Amino acid sequence: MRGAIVGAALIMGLLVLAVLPHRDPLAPDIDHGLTAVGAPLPPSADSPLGTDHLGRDVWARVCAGAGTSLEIATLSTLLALLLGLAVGLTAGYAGGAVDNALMRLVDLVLAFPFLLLAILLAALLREANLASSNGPVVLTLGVVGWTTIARVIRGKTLSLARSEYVTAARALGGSPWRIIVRHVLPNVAGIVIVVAALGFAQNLLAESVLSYLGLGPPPPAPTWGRMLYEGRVYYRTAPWLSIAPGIAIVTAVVGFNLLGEGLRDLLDPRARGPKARPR
Amino acid sequence: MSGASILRRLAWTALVVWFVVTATFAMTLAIPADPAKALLGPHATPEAVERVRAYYCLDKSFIEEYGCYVSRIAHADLGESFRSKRPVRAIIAARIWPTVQLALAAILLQLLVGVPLGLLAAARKNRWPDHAANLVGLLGQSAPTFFVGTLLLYLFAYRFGWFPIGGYGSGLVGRLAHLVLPAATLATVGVAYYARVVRSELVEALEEDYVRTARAKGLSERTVLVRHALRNALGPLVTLVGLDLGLLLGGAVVTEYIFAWPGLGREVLQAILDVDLPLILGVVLVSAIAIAVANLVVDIVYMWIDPRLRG
Amino acid sequence: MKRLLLILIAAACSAPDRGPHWRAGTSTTPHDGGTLRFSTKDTLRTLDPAIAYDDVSPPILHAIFDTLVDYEPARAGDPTSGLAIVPRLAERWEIAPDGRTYHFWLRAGIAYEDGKPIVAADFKTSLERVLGMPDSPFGQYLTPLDGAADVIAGKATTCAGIEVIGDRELVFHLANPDATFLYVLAMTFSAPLRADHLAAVGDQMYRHPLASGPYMLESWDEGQRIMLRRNPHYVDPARAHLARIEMLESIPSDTQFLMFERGELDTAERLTSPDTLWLREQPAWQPFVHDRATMNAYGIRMNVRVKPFDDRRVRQALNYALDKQHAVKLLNGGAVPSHGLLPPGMFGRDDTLAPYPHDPAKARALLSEAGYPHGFDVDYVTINDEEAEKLAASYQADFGEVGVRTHITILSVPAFASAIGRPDGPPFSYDGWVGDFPDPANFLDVRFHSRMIANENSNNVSFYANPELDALLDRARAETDRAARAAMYHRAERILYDDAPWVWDFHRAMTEVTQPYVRGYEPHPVWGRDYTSTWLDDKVPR
Repeated sequence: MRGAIVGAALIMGLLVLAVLPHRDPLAPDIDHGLTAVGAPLPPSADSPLGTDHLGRDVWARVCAGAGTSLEIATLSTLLALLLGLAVGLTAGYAGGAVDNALMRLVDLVLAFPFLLLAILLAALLREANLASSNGPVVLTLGVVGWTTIARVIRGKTLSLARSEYVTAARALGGSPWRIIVRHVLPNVAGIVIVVAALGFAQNLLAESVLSYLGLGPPPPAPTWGRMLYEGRVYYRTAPWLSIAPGIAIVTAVVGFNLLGEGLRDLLDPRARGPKARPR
Repeated sequence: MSGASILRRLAWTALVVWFVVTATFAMTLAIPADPAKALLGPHATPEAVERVRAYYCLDKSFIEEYGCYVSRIAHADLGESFRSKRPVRAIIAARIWPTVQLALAAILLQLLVGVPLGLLAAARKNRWPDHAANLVGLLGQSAPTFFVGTLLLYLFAYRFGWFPIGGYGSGLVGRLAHLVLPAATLATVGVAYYARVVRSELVEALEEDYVRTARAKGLSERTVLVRHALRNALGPLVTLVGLDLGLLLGGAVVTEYIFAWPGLGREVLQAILDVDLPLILGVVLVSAIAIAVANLVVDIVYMWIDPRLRG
Repeated sequence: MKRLLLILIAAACSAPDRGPHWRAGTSTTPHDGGTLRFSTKDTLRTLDPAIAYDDVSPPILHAIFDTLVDYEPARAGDPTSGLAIVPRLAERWEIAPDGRTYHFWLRAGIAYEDGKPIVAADFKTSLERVLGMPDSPFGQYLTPLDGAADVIAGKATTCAGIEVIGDRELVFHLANPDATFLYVLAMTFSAPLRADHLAAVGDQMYRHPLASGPYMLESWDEGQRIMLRRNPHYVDPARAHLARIEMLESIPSDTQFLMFERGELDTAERLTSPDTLWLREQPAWQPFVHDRATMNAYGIRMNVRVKPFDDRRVRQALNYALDKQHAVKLLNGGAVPSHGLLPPGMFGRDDTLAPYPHDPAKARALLSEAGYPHGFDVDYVTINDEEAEKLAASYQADFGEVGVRTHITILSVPAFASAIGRPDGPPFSYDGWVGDFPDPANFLDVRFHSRMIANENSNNVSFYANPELDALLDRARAETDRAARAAMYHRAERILYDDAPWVWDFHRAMTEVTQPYVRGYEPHPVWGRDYTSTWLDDKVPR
């Protein structure tokens, strides 16, 4: 329980960061934001985290990055949720052969290495040149991440489908859709929040990896992952370029992990199966 | 463990392999570029282009192209890399052993560090070692791999000079020296899961009846912990190892890049940036098959140890 | 336990000694032996000189293959050195007064790595191979030869313009005089190859070179490491002091520098921006830092057939909108603003032409005149390279100031190359040109002559066709009087300056740092990293 509260607090902090007023994080300031020879400026009274390699205020980018990174993670998690809910509810409610088939499908998708698939998709989508800047990344993460959600939801739905309420409602002849919405969804909501939080954390990390490899949203997008990508080579002369977004990422991920796990312990203390994270 | 269940698992694995093959084939169709031109380059003669198109059955129907593809896979012909024109099979064969070494080393480290950590946490449940272990695990889980990797590289290879900066190394000692940091980077993420599994199983086991009985019989607490309870954790640990093997065989892309480790991950990263389709798809295929096989092995091992535990 | 932690923290916080670990070598005569180790962040694709056309292969291929002529070595402190042509496999040559016949006499004793002698016929074999190879990008350089066009078109297998006289004499017959021909013969693809070797290796030529130069292939773990060793049959000991040359592939730039500092590499180039800046502030390293201007030009290329770039005023406006000091700063002083393609020091460059000044007001005025008072939106395409992305962000800001709103798209290098080379591809993109040889024809003809326009993989990626310029370039190429040639290229530069098919930005220099015991090395204006005369002194710890 305590973990969940700490997690929530961290997340609140990040949201505050996202709405704080700050300087323009996008426009390079090569004339004044860099030293005479073109190096980033160190932290100063004027600029608490210094500037990056294009003269942009790092603090501003971290704040703006909160917005962008969280937006990407939110959208991709929502996408994954939608897909996962659709598959999981169907499988759990219908049971039998349909359940079998859908779960086998999930297993098959899981057969592909997550990161590899994400990188592949991101690269292909980039080549296909989609108009929006965040689209490819969101799509990639959503499409790759729905499987765990589907599995968890299916499990819960299966047990709910056998409950008295649902059996009665079915006997009364209600449409499956209404039954799901009235009886299953409210009870699944708790679990959904948990997997959403954990999935969010995973997507946040995955976006930073994609950006680090240069496959994330194109410049001048201020995502934390991209900041790590751009600041990477400065780790000896301007470590603040990497430390700031790095801490931000870790904080956000820790926050969501704590929240998710705290909520899960609350709702279902026994449901702690082994799960490894792709790297 | 019945022969029937093994057969079922084998059949399932075969299905997974077939699915992966088909899915990678579907991906080749989705690419707009002309594979023949991409393979031969911009100055190719029309005859050469024709030859390649015929070889890959590009001019025939979907079904025939698919059949072509499957039969090539069955002959272990994964095509040629667009960039280097070498057979994909040869490239993968050259790169797979380093990735396997890295995967095994990472798993070993995870076990060596995670299990004792979990034991400690369970034995001192809810006291500070437990919380500290939890925190370490949480941080390790939440930090991006490239963050950890760069940190380890800078500190232990460059600053302290204890390990080489990158590369593969030769000879047993050299190889081990080059292996430590990348394996440690990968292990940082997984330690948390292993420790947590061990801790939770131990905590449960400590409450089991037979442990109480053993205590009553006067066996030392240490023996009780290690012997009886640890065996319970074996099952979930095996599952984790299996999952990990699969994931790591998918190529620890970022880690291999940072440490210049010549494995599949680095190879495929370069291939993806170059849009070198045959190589990308070859690696995806091989990784997915490796994962399926690893899962199969894990299931079989689990079935083997399971009746003895839970009987 | 706590003490250990404290020690570790103290060690981590203390500044490491990042100076050279060795003293400068002081021997006066070159030593033989040792292995020179360096790295690249890319990978080597092929060792076939007829195909290799990138910036990874020159250090390796130039060590393996010798050609009839070569460039003199570069001399430290003399930025104009390194461009003169000197004999290599040829002993001497005579050019007929009409400029259409080149007669070469081969040096005595030249041999391949297997000891067999290099004979004149081998040059014919390798050149005809290049002409007949559709994959080779070098066929176009041989078109001045009689009969070359027929071989390229597949109508003939031998080139009439290459005449072999015995084992030691070679005569080239050109259809028209061509000032660039000697330079072409210095390019690595014209290295001799024996017919029996080609037949034996078949399509494995990419990893079975036949060395005619000071070094030969010892081993190649593709994508990982290539090792060369001295060619025992090489005749010139001054170019083969090292016993081995080793190149590691796929090493990121920052890792390269870490390895260099630790002594695991003998030389490092293409340092990251922070490493370059740090290096310049280290007095201890200054004697070992080599800066050299190489032949290149970078900027933004526009497809002049596509709106709005078909209007000259728009193109000029973009030139006025760009602040070239930004690139200089972003590249840490390793760049020089440009007014055109020809780099400083190149023959035929009009040094009186100043780069477009940064004048946003003028840019806006021109845009208004052209009918874009509120600017316009455009997609800027660039490659997935950190520097290119940095420049892209800077361009975006500069153009945004005058109302041109750019959206940045990043593509991988192969995707970029194939997208750009087509008339219907992205009209506004990053571009750079690294010269093959130090002659304006290699710059201006390739990029702006209308005959270089193709529908796929066009070299003239601006799709710029100006008959006046074409005629000028054609005449200049065949002109034998140097002063007249220079005047023609001056005119050509001015035409291109006014027509502005590019947004001209900068020329860049290369910076390389070597360990104190590396001697006899100077980066070359044409070859870049060229280790053929390098030698390793004793390693005396500091």
